[in-house]
Amino acid sequence: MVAPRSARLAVALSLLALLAACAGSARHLAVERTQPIAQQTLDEWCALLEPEAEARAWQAIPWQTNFHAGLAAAAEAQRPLLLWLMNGHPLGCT
Amino acid sequence: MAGRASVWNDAAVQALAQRFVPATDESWRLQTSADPEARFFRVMVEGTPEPVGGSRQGTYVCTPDGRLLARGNSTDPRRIEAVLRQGLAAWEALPPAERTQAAPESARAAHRWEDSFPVDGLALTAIHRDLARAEDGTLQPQAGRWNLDHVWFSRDEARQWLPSEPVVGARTALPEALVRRWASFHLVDNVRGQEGPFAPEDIEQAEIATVVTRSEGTRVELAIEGRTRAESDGTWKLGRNHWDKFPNRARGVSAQLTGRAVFDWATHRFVEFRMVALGEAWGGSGLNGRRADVATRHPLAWRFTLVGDTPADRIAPAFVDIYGAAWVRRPDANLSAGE
Repeated sequence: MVAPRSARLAVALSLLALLAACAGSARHLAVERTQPIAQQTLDEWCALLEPEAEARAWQAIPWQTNFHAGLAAAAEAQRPLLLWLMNGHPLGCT
Repeated sequence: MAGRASVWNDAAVQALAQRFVPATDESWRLQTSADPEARFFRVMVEGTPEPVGGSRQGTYVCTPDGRLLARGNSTDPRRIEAVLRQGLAAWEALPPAERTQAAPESARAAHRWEDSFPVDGLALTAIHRDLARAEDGTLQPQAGRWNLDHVWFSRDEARQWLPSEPVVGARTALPEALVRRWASFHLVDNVRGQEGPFAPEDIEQAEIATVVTRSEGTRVELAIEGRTRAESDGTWKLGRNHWDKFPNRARGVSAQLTGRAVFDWATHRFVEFRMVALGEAWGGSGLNGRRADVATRHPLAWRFTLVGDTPADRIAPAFVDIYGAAWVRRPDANLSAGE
């Protein structure tokens, strides 16, 4: 995927700002490097940031979203429960 | 979080998962909470309802009434495939009567953060992505480097994004409490793994405002602009809570936000919401994959859009327990340990 042309321009400008600010402190640079996205390119950025389909295949598994719901659904289906645990909910921020 | 992709995107594991009822949950709460659901889990895997330390992340196979059949933790899909096959063999060896047990009521949760999902408010899905500089100097998303979270606002909080009179050009600055929620809990560097939140004292700049760009019938279109900068010296400043044991190190995030939203007065809901934050992160616990390097600025982006209507869309924000919002229902005092 390629960033929208206007977005690339914004990033190029931010790099110029970075070069211009090289004499400043790291804190100053951190602020100056970041340029806002133009309203006109918002939709393109939204599309660009969509994770690749193959990277989110795990979301297609019909997960029950908590332990007890899993037990109840397993009883209903008369199948074993597969329980996947992580620190931070696996279907959220983990 | 590597296992999320390496294991569960694997075709053979996905095919095998169809022979189970698959479920997911948050590990730390099940290890440490006094909630009946967590106590039941610990009896199943540890033989005791008492809280357990260390990590119980991983994959488990059990019967619907809570008999453990197999367990393992790996980012290698072949090892998890073996755990699933072991669990399936143990299941098939059980007498039929032991496969038809009901789920115990004693395992039902007394409290879950998902209970506070703002049905009539504003709920967003956040996609966090690492960016990298291409040869031409542009920023591109790094393949596979992404995470997700949710952002919640109550009905009253959602209303605070709008002016009292929705005339074109009217500007509304978000109240401090809502801007702080963004800067403390949602513009955090957790693309590669969980990172700690920012305390109010860490927030050096936080401004988010909306401007009415269109007003037709019951619908008001808003442009959203903002910027935040937060930097922590690594000292924990958010008091005693679920996160106070999190490895806290010097880190920072700066971001600029651009968005567009449409609010419908007829339903008192946002019917469209798109916002992107472009920024940089540095330092951190190491769990965020930055190796605690405060000298290097890593470009990253966050995208926020309205949630869908599946149960997964109702998973609570990572830091909902420290939102500090009265509408978020907390566990009863005697169940609050580990929540």
